[in-house]
Amino acid sequence: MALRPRAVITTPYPLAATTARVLGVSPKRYRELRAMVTDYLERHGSSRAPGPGGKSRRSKHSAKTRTVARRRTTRRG
Amino acid sequence: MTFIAGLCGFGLRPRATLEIPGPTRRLDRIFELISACGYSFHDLSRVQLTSGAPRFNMPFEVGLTVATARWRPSHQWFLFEAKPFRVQQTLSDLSGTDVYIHGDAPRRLLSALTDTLVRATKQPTVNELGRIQRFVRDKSTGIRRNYGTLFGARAFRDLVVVATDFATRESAARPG
Repeated sequence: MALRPRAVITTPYPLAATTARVLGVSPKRYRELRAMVTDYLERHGSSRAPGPGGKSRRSKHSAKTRTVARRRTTRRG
Repeated sequence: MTFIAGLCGFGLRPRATLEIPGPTRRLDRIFELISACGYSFHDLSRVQLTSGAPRFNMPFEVGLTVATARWRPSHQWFLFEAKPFRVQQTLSDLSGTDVYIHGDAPRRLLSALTDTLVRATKQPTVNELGRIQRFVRDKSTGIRRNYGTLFGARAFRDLVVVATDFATRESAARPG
């Protein structure tokens, strides 16, 4: 069955503060909920950043280049 | 819960009849909610037996939405079901309507949502919606403990606020 065209959303992402106000969430509870999100993102990391304990991205240089650079630094020291 | 995560991932602000407190003027409030929203999402797979009696709220609300969309064509509504072709048996008046099948699987529901919605900018992927869904599921345990249930006004509001906050922060980190 051919599905109908998708609905296009042009509005920006709503702010959590506005959403809390619209839904009638108290300022105290809103602060607690914000803290829950901050805490989760600190533990798991954002989708664009490696999480804590996660593998850091390798540099684009080859292993050979990295070894040569490390030896030079060691020699200077 | 998956609907909350998915809709927040698209930058929408979910509303639900769960928010409506008490039995007084409930029908008026349902009409108000439908009229205030640009889109309605109805999952007919949630029509289950409570103490041996089926709950007709969901199909009834679909009827109200269809009526609303008749006099306000800008209002768009979408129908979801777990099993294909079941709507033809349970609600044959809606024959010819597109039904999005999710198979009771959160990821398939998120995928179905991407078939119904598209953002003009910063289109979320199913993986990104899945990340919001996992976050909401993680936080729902504490929220359920706090209120005793997830099917109440306060729990629903909490879930929407955390999902909105999470989705907004994630969208800000996403390239346009």
